[in-house]
Amino acid sequence: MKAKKITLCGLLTALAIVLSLVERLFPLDAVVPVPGAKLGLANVVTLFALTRLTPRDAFVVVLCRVSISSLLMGSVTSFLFSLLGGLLALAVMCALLHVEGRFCSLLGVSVAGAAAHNIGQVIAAVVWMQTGAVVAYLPLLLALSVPLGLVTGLTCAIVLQHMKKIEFGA
Amino acid sequence: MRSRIKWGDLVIIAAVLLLAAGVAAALALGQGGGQLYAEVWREDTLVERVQLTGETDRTIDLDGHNVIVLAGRTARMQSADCRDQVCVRTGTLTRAGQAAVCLPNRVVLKLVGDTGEIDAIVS
Ligand SMILES: [Zn+2]
Repeated sequence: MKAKKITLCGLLTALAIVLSLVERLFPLDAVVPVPGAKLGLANVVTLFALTRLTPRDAFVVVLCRVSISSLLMGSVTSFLFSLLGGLLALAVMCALLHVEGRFCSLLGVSVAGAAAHNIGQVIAAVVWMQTGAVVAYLPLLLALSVPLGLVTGLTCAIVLQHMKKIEFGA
Repeated sequence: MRSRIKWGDLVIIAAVLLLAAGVAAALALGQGGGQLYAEVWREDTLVERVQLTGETDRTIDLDGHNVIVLAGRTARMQSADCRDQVCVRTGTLTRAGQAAVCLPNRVVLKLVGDTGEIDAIVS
């Protein structure tokens, strides 16, 4: 069981890193001139880890993903932005998952996570660049987090649905 | 499926959009008090005072001795013929109170806000 869990963590980390790479195809920096700003596609992995594993495992996956993807292609700033964004998204989604099913669905959890991810990035940018000017991009990033969160939430729900079938069959 | 929309989802989406609108509104309101000016001083006299907006795009050439570039809400000493190049290495100024000083040429480029408060605190 422990080996299975570690394998799943590793797989999820790998998937999250691939998503971080894919994300670089969308030059968000062109719209939001904050070096290292990300859409937050990798949050779908965090959400999945939270639903299938424990919050602690999800935390480890976020930490590994941020460290490795920053080593692969990032800078200190992108590490900082991703870390704060990733952890804030994790915390918010973890809290909302407790009321998921009654209050909201995975979609709501995911939208809130995406919004938290962007708020985290902007906070990191304010601290790092020592200027409140970057807050100007927060409205746009928050608005973007709604469609993005819906897509990642739906993706996660579909994957979970398929996994339920597989486990039922096996 | 766990993606069946519940009322809470709409509350969350509305909250995110409201937050976006709120931040945008607060920024728009705060803009009036956030004017930024670039001042160019030469031998203790003010030679230029330019308001910096998002669209600012100007180059000020002080007889070839110092070249100052104003871009958006930032300013920098692009080049200088001084020996130490301290002013050039100061880099880009983005906030009121910051300054690039060229001692050899006695040129000062500084950013000031609406009020002289930040200057007062600094000095
Ligand atoms: Zn100089």
